[in-house]
Amino acid sequence: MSEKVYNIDDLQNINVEGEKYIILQIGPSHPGSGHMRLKVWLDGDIIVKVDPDIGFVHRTSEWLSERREWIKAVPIVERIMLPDTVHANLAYVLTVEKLLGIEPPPRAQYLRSLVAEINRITSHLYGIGIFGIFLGSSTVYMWAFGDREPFIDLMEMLTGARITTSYIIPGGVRWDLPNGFKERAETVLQYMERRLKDYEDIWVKNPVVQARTINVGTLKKEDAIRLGVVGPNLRASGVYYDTRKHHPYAAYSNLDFEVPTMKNGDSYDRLLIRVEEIKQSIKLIRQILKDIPEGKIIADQIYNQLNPVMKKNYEEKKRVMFPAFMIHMRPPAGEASAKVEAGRGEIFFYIKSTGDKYPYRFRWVTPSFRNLPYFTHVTVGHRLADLPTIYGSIDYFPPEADR
Amino acid sequence: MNIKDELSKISTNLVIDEKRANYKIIIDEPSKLIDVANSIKNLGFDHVVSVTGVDYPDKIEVIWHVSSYSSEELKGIDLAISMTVKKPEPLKQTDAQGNINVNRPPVTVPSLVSVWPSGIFSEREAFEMFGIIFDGHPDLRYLMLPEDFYGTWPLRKDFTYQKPKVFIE
Amino acid sequence: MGIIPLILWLIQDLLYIIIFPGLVTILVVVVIIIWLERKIAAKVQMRFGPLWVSKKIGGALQSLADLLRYSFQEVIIPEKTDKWAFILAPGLMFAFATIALIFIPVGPYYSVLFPSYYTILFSLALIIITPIFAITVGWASDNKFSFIGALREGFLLISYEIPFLLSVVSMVIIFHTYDYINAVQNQLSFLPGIILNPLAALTMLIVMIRTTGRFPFDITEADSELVMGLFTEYSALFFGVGMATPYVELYNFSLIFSLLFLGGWWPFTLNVMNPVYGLILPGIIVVVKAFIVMAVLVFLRAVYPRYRLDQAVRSGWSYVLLLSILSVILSVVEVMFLR
Repeated sequence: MSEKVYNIDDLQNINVEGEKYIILQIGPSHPGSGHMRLKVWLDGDIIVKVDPDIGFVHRTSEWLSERREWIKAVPIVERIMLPDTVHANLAYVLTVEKLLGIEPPPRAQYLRSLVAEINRITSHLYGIGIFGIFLGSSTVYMWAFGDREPFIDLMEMLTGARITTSYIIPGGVRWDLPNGFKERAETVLQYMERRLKDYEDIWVKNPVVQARTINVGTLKKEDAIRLGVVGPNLRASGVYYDTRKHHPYAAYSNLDFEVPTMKNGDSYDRLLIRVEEIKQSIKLIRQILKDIPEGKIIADQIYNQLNPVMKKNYEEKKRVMFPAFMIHMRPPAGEASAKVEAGRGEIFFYIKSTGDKYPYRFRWVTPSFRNLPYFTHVTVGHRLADLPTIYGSIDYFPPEADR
Repeated sequence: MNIKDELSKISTNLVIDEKRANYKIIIDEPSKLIDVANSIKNLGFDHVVSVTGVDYPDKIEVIWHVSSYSSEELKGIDLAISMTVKKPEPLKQTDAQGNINVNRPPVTVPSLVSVWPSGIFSEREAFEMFGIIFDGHPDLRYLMLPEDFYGTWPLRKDFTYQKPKVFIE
Repeated sequence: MGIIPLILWLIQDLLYIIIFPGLVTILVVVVIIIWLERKIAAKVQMRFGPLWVSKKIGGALQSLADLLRYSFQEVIIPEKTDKWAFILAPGLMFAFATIALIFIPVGPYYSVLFPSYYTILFSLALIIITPIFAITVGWASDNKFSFIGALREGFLLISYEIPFLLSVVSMVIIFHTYDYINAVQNQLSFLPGIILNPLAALTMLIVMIRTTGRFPFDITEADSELVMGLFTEYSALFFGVGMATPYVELYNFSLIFSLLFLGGWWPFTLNVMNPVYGLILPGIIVVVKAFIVMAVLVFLRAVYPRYRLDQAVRSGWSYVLLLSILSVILSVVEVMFLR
C-alpha cells in the first residue's frame, strides 16, 4: 500500500487527461459520500486524484449571522454542527464574551465543560458509527447510535433539549444541575464503560477491521502539521495539540486529563484515538461532577440585568431567563477570536464588532473544513475501497464543513 | 523566546491585544507579504487556521490566521496577518431592459499557499466569498458556490440577493 | 414402460422442481432466511427488526411484502443500456441458480428427468455458470459502479472457483463417486464428510460466503463504495430477482454442503422407493440442515465488516487455494490408508 503523501505541487502535475482513467462521480447522492461530491480519477483500482466538491449544504451561516442580533447567531451555529452543537455554541459565546469582557462564574465554567464533554462522547460515537457503516458493519453503526441516546438524554435532563441545546449564553449557562443528575450520570458512565469493552471485541479487535484500516490512509506527523488538520486526526498522527490544553477555556485549566496521541497516523489509529478520548471524557465528567463548585451560574453583569420576576425564577428554579440586554447587546468595537476543541477538532471564531447591533464580520472555521486535505492528499495511491475507510476514519461531516 | 520581540523584529506594525491574547501583524505593502510570511513560518507558525476577508466601504482587509502545532511556546498563540487592499471602483452598466448592473471587480493579493499549503481551501473560500484573487494560488476555483455566482461576492456588504429572473431554461 | 407410469413419473418430477425442494420451497426458505437474517442482526444490534408486516408472527412476511412491492414498481430501463442483456441477464442468473437444483437430490429415491451417476459434476457446472450472468449484468448496465462491480465479481470468481472445485474433488476422491446419493450412502455407512475431511468443509464454507456475497466478502455490492454494485441501475422485479439470486445460490450451496459434509439425510437411513420415505422425510432433514448452515452464514453479517477486493483475491489465491490443495492431499492419504 502506498504511504506517500503527495505534495500540492505533485498533485498539480498529475495529468489526468485522456481515456486512461475512469472518472467516478461519487456523490452527492451516493451512500458513501454524504452531502458532498468526490470526483475520483481511477487508474484501474488505484486512486490517482480526488477532487472534493463541497458546498451542497452550504447554509450561509456567516451571511445570516452578520445580519442578525448577536444572540441570534447561537441557534445558527448550532444547526451547522448538529452532532457537536454545544461546542459550536460555546465557541461563539466565548468570542462574544471576549468582546464584552464578561467572565462567567466558576460553576458556569464547570457546567460548560460538563455539557461539552457529554457532547464530545456523542460526537465520537457518531463518528465511530459512521465509520462502521462505511466499512460495512451495520452492528457498530446501530450500537454507536443507540449508545448515543443515554448521553443525549443526559443533555436533555440538563439543558431541556436533546441536540440543539442553546445552553450556553454570554455570561454563563441557562440551567443549573437538576436534582438526581449526578446519580443518573454515574449510571450512564458505567454503562458506557461496559459497552466500550463490547466495542473492542466486535470492532476494534476485529481482524477484518484491522486488515482494512492498519496502514491505510497514513498521514505522517510532519505532513499533518503542514496540512493543518485538526482534532483527533491530528493527535492520531502524533502531534500533541489539544485546544483544551493549549488555549484553556471553560473549566479545563482546573481539570486533570490526558491528551492521548498515537504514532502511525493511519485509519486504525484514528479509530483508537476516538475510543481513548471517550474514556478521557468519561473521566472528565466524573471529575467535574465531583469538583463542581457552588455558586451562581451567571455572571453578575447579566444577573443585574434581570428583572424581579426573572430573579425570582432564578432563585426558585435555577433557571436564567433572557434579559432584554441579550437582544440589545452591543459589544464594544474591536475584534476577538476564540478556539474550542470540538469532537471533530478545533473550531475557530473570528468576530469583528463595530459596536453595532449586528456583528460586522462573523467568521468561523469548522474542523471538518480543515480536514479536507485528507481527501486530496491521503487518498491518492490507495484503492477505491479505501476511500470510504479514509472518509469514515477522519469523521468528516459535510454540513459542518460547508457552514 | 519572547514572542513579542521576535514578531516586532519581523514587522514594526504589530498590534497586540493583551486582554484577548491576540497578535496582529499589519502589512502595508503587498510585496512584503510573502517575505513576512516566510519569516513568521520560520518562527514556528506552521499552519493556517483561516483565511478571510473583511469588507469595508472602500477597501478589503484580508486576514490570515496562523497558529502552531510544532512549537510548544507558540501553541497558545493566534497570530493574524492582515493586509488591506483598495477596492476598485464598481462599474455601472445599463442593459437593454434598463436594469442597472453593478460590476464589482475583484481585488488581487499574493497567495500564501506556497508558504502554508494548509490554506489552500480557505483561500478558495475567501476568493468566492469576497472576490479576492490570490495571485499564485495553484488551484483557484470555486469551492462552495456554483460558478455562476462569479462577480456577486456574497459576503461583501453591498451584496444584494437577486431572484433569478427565469426559472426554467 | 407404459404411458401412465411415464406420466406419473413426469408429474412427480414436475412436483420435485416446482414444490419440493424446488421453487416453492426456495421461496419459503428464502423468505424465512431473509427474515431470520434481519431478526438476528436486529437482536445483535439492539433493535427489533421487521415488525410492521404481520406483527403477530414477528414480521415474518416482510420479505413477501417486499417481493410484492418490487413486482408493482415501475420498470426503468435506462437509455444507454444494452437492452436485451439488461433484461435477460438477471432472469437467466436466477434461472441457472434454480436449474442447478435439478441435480441436487434430497433423498435416496431420486429420479428427476435424467437419473445419472454424474450429479455432482452437473450441478457444479450449472452453479459455475451463474456468475457469468452477474458479469453480464454489470456490463449491460452502462454504469461505472456496475462496471466496477462486474470487474470485482470477475476477479473473485476466478480466484475462488478453483478452491471450490478442489474441495468438491477431495470429497469425490474420498467417496469414490460422482453421485450425491452414493456419497451420502457412503457417509451413512462410515462417517460424515466434515469429520473425514474438515479442510474441504472449511474451504467450501469460505467459498460459499464469497460466492453468495455474504459478509465479510460483500465486495461486489459494497454500498459505501459502489452504491448497489451490479444492480445499481435496476429497479422493480429485476432488482428483486437480482437480490434473491444470492439467496438461491446460498440455498444450493447449503444443500450441497449438507449432502457432502453433514451426512445428507442422516439419521434417516431407510432406503425405500417410496415418495414419502424416499423423498419427503429425508428431504426435510436435508433442507433443515441446509437451513442451519444458511443461518450460521447470514449471522456473519452482524459480526464482520467487509474485506477489500485485493485482500479477498490475495487470500483466495494463497490461503484458500492452499487449504483446498491440502484437503485433496488429505483425501488421497485417507483413501490410501483407510481403504
